[in-house]
Amino acid sequence: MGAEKEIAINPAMWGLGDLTEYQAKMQTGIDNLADIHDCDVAIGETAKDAVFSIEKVTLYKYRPLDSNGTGDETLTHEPILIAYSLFGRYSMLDLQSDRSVVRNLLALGHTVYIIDWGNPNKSDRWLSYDDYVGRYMSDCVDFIRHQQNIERLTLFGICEGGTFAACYASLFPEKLGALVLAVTPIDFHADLDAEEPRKRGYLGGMMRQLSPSQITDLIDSFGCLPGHLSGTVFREMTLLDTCKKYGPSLVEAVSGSKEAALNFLRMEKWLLDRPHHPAEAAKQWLIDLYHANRLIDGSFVVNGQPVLLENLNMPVLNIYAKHDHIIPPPESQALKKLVGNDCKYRELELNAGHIGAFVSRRANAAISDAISNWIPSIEHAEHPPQALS
Amino acid sequence: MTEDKHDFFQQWADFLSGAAHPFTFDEQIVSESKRGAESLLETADDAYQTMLSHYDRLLSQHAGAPGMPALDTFMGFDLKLKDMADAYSDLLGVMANLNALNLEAATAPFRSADLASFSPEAMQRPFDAKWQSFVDESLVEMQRSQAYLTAKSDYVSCLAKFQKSYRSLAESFQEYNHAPTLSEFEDLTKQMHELRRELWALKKKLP
Repeated sequence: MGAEKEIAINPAMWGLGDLTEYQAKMQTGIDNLADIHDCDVAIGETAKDAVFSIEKVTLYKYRPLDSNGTGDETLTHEPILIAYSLFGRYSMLDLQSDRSVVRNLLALGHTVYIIDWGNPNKSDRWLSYDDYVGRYMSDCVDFIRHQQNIERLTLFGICEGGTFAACYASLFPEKLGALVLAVTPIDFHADLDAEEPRKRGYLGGMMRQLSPSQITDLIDSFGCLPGHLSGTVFREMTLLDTCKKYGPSLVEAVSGSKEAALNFLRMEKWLLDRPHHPAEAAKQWLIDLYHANRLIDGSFVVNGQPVLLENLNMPVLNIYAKHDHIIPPPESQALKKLVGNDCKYRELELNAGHIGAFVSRRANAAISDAISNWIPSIEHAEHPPQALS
Repeated sequence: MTEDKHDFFQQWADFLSGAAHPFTFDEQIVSESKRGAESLLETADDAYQTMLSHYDRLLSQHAGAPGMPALDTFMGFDLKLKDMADAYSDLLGVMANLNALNLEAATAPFRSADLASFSPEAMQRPFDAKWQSFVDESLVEMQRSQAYLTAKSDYVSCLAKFQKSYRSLAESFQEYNHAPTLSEFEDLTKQMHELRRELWALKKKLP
């Protein structure tokens, strides 16, 4: 009895020995937070210009790092068009100057465009893949082809943006010189066979459990898939980390140097800015893809045409993250068996997680180098592509 | 309750005739008017309490049984409020169930641990990380269990039901206050969306 009591109040067990240190850290953290204002927490700062827009969607072109943005660059390689997911902002690719895939690509001399899907609200509830792939992405590609007078460009899609890109590539393979996908689900049920629970996707398990009518009811009741709801699901996936992050780890996160605190706050700013997902596109994502897994059997339809992954005959670089808790690697790797016979296909495994792939210094350098080497040389159009009406 | 006390219309008439002379300072009239008002309020309160007791009886008889006759007492607002309250109560229930599963999984490693066998040396920093990894594993495993998926499915159904009933109630307010509802807005945006698509397709056909 006495021995048990001794153990119960053991100072090491309760971390009492660290209490003074902890209080000092808390003081530093509070000093840091008092000193930092929202305007100091800047993300997506690389200079860019809006060059095209359709409805709420804007196409940006990044300025070369060593120019004043006059646009007098000479293309040696295909321009690259980046499409991020609707569940987060494209600024993940340019979170801060020393962790920016965009800046890395610019530094390597590439011409970089990015699609900003805008801020969908309830007036956008009817937008579907027909719009995102068939109109918005299609118009952005055609605009760049016309502006640069080129036949093809390289399309780089991330997560859901990668699924958009794969759909687009299957419908318009002739317009792409290369396709790059990162942390992109293709076979949404490929995680089912994993023995280790962690390797079976959280979202996939949930969507397979729910009936299509349950998913439809939920989305219809909100008129969209609200950003705060999808944010909650992402937080649930790493429940303990979430609890720690805003508990004991918060002090650690903000109590280092001011720059370290800013790193933490930049990510928080990105996480907080989670857009609403338009209802019809969300139903396709969760019912047609997550629940029914239609992308792998050619039964997923965009603009009245089936998405056939065997049409992917351009070089494909498929990047996945080894520790991705959102898109388990097998869901991405499944593409290897589905692309066309003539496709030059390569995989790149990153020793990172879903987001870490873009914000960890080592991983985002690896991504940037791999993509840079994958972008084909420029091929100017014999006949200038038609301008958009 | 006496017959006179419940002659509501007679009392209302008496009250009105008393109130019809607001500037007549005849003591008798003022006094009668006051009495009339007090009596009327008493009767109104009595009638209200009676109505509530009937309403409670109705609700208790239909508790749990769908298809209560839709009496238009408050233009349907009362039933929508009741639906929302029911849905909220169901939502709280399934949330409690989910929380219980999370809590059970998070505490499982602690419950199965034999603290007496730990030496003080083991209680150092790496030990914290080990514990966290046990808890994390336990949570991840639980989240893939059928019990959790069923609870989550119940949660989704209840959340949708609550949101629908909330929206329906809000739309009642909007309708009676001459404001467009979300459903009407959706009709409008659907038409606009189809027109935009047509316009886009037509532009593509232009030379």
